[in-house]
Amino acid sequence: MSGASNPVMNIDPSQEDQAKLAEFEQKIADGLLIEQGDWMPEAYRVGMLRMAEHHANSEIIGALPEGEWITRAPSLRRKLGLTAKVQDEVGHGQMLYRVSQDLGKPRDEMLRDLCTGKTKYHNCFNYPAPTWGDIAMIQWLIDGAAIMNQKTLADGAFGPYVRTMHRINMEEAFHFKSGEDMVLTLMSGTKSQKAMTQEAFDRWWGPSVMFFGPHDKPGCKDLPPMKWRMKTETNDSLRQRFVDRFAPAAIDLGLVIHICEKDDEGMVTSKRVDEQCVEDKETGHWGFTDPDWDEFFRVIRGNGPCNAHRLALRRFSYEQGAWVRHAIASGSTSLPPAA
Amino acid sequence: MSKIRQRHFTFDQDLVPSRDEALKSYIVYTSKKDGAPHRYAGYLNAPDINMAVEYACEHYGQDEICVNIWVHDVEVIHQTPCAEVTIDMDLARDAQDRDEHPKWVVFTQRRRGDIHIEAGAIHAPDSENALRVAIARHGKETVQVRVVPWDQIESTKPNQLIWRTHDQTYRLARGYSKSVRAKWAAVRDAADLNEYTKDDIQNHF
Repeated sequence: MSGASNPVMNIDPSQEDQAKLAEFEQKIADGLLIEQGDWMPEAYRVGMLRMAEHHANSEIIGALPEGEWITRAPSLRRKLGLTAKVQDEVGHGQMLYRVSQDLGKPRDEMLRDLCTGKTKYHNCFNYPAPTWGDIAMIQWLIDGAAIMNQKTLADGAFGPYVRTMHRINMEEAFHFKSGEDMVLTLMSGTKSQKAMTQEAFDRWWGPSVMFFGPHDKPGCKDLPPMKWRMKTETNDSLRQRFVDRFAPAAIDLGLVIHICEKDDEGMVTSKRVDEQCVEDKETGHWGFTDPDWDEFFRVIRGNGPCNAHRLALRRFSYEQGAWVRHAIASGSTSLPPAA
Repeated sequence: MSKIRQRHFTFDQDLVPSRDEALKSYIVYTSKKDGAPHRYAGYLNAPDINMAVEYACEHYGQDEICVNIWVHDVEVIHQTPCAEVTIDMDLARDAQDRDEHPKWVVFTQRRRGDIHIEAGAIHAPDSENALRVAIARHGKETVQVRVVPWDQIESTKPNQLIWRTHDQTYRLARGYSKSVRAKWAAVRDAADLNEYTKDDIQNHF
């Protein structure tokens, strides 16, 4: 999963060698890819590193809410599917950390910066997954949003990242389809299954609409992240495409799109129907109420329902795994610490 | 809420750095069926090449159907600079391929950004000649030619079980497609359904 388009990148290319920069920009304008070893502006290297690292962090943190549910999956096939998905996500993290390492940051430093909160991961993983319905929604909505985003990132200009996106998208396709199957199954089930799914949908619709990040700044297409094809689509156009696909799908399934108030635990305390969520017959686009961006920034700053817990669990895993990394790196046979 | 979410973690020390400088980088290629070319899958960090093969089986060998894996150290690559359009075939001048020379595996990249795919094997006395021969044989319509000494590539064993033999469609998108379509058909007509699925990644669904 990705939120790679989210980190705000303040890039100043004025310090670069202008002749090389012009050549670099021409190459990108011609649709060529930048490969490892090609000249690139420092701002590009740092920007790509930040993007790939943020994406990698999101993959391994994203495995946590789903990993909680492996033991409680409702059938053997769902359990196998969820196990495979979690394994995939961690594998994506591995690939993306590898890309980031080549851009100049050691892997261990990235893992520590994640634990200490110096670097971020995608905001949507700071929300809880209290029921199986939430797992279905993460796979349908969040992975669906991730595919939309990553398909456009695969049109980017940095070769190693682009190749990784292609590989990741193949697996995201499975995550999304399996999520869709779960939602369809639940919504053709019993009354209580439908109620559980609606509640999960209420918790996840907001974070999904926010998934693509805040509104774009004016003129963003001429700023380095888009000019250099680190990203190829604006946040707002991706968001509209997402709503156009998922709002009618949700309604057809019998789900109701609500605007929700939530408590500190991320649980819905009150809700009302989103009256704006109707199709504009002329444009073919679906309307939606702008999400609560105060909530978005509050959660990014560390005050979401699950921020502290996600990071604590990540740190716990990092520290518990230290002896394994040490044993592998040194060829020693040290024993694990007592639990 | 799950039990693990209720668990309260406390940490009494600062985070201790691990030493991962001992790890090396390895490139992984996978083959989907017997005789099919090995295609670049990704790379990984490992302490040595045998562990790299183990990691590769568990990671890249489980993403899709896979019958064989090759792994080599990033450092043993020799490759041409990545051309903008196609490789300069003049670079292949004086190429000599003789069987008594060591064997090299050739990988080529069709366009910038593509993955490297096994193109064949050649024999040459050294890397410079190996590249020339590789360009002469396999360089047409490519942007980059890569050669790797055959004795530096570690392979999984013949007939080694990587992708399991039981039904693993639960980890592929197509394992769900039929069921999803049938369930959608109950609530949507065919035209709506086709419109909705046009955003799917066609190669994978």
